[in-house]
Amino acid sequence: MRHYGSRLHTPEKKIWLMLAAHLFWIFTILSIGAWWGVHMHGQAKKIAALETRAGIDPAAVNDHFFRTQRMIGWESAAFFVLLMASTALLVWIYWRDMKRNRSMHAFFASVTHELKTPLTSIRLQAESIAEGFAGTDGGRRNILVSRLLEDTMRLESQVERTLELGRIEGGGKLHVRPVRIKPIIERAMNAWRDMPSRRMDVRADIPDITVLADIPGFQVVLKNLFENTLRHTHVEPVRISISLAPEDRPDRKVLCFRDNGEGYPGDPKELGRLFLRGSGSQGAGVGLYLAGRLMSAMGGGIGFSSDKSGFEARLEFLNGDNADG
Amino acid sequence: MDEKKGVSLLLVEDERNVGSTLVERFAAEGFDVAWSVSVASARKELAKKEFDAALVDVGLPDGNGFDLAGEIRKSSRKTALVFLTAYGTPEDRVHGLELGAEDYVVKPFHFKELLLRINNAIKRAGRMSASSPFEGIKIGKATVWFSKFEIYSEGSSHSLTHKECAVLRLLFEKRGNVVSREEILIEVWGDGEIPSSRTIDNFIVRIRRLVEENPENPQLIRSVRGVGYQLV
Repeated sequence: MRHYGSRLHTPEKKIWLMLAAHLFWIFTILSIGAWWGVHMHGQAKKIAALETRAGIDPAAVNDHFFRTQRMIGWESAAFFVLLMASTALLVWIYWRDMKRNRSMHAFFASVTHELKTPLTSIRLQAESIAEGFAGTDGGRRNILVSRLLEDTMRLESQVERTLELGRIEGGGKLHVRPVRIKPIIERAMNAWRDMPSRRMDVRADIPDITVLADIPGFQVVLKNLFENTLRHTHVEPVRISISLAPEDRPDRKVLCFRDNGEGYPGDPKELGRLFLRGSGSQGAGVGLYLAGRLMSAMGGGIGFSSDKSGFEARLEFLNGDNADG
Repeated sequence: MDEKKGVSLLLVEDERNVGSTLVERFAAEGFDVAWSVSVASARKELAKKEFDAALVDVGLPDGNGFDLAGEIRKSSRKTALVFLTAYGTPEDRVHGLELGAEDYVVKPFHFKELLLRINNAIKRAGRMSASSPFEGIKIGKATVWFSKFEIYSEGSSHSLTHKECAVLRLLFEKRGNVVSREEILIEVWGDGEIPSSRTIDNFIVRIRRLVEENPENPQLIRSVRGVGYQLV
């Protein structure tokens, strides 16, 4: 998998330079430590010689010398360990920082790319209208306008997703409480059923259950799943079914969201990872990653599977039937 | 509008709204457009016929446009290839151009500018594939057929990209004279995509590998420091 958007201008040379600097640092520490140990050993010997010359009992001198040597040994070892640990810590901090920088770079590259895509379409539709491409054909003009609106909504969602991701990653809290999810799903279905440029067939077969959830968070999860389907499904009509999975644990409820798209072309295990650009496909995985983070924050989880007959997301909630509201 | 009648264009774009509107607009300009939303469907279209031009998005659901470009080049060397992408880093542009693309258009774009650049790319590709007075000519250890984008070197035949072919042809036409980098830029890349001089150097390195006896010590295509190149 080539990672075009995040092709980093990685300072390969910088990495080698840093590695060389660390190796030099370790060498310097070892040299100083060794010198210090040898020097102190010499000093102990000198003190022992002076004590002998001063007429102190040789047995006491000997005992004092060995005790001093042992102390120097322990101190040297502690000094080594401390310095090596500090070096290892510094190296770890440096690598973590590098990794974070890479992630940040990849994140901005991906977000920019994701924003550019609807922007391109908006510009194209708007220019086509402005240049009178539709002429007097009202039907054609309406199609251009509906595409324009659809892309404006996509752009809006993209910005919302990025902000929500920033909020969640920054430690933002959810208000998790017992929630009847059927009305929320029905509202989402109604909103997505009337897509101006796509034929949609959205069905849900859900009993009136209560789960532990954050209402805005769950709405974002649903929105991301619908958008993911619309983006990656090219067949018409787009069929989405939402159902409750058979119960296997009494404390959990699992919702299945399934579409009739072409499925994810890469390894389904990659789904839900951030900054995913599977086999060059569009999208940075922000939507599914955010859905996963929100479900985890609600005490549940999310799992994805995909084959040629479509994509499926399994949303696991904590049962809210007996929870205190 | 009729000017473009019969000019076939393969559009490979997985964004539905962008693809739909581009198909309508290109069709209105007289192009005969085939639209693919994936690498797989583009392959099917390529198997059906040879296109005059291909406008390829880099990010596709089942692969990437860079790989597809290689397949287009293999199936039809005369097709004018233009990348259409949101990835606008210099590395990506250089990579696209080195793959033999005529141009590299970064999203978002102005349709009329895109149209102009595709027309220019088609013209350049047409000029390149037109019969040349220099066919089967010997350059160093290689024999070159410019209109077929082919070079025979070291016992095997290699295909040249449009740009490689154009650079070599320019140097051959002006053999004995120093051709400046600016001249190469203007003649080969036109007023569309302007690559860095490093890109030109990369093309020269590849050409040298094919024509020079010892590419490490080039005797045929000489670098003239600060100016350009000279085919001796």
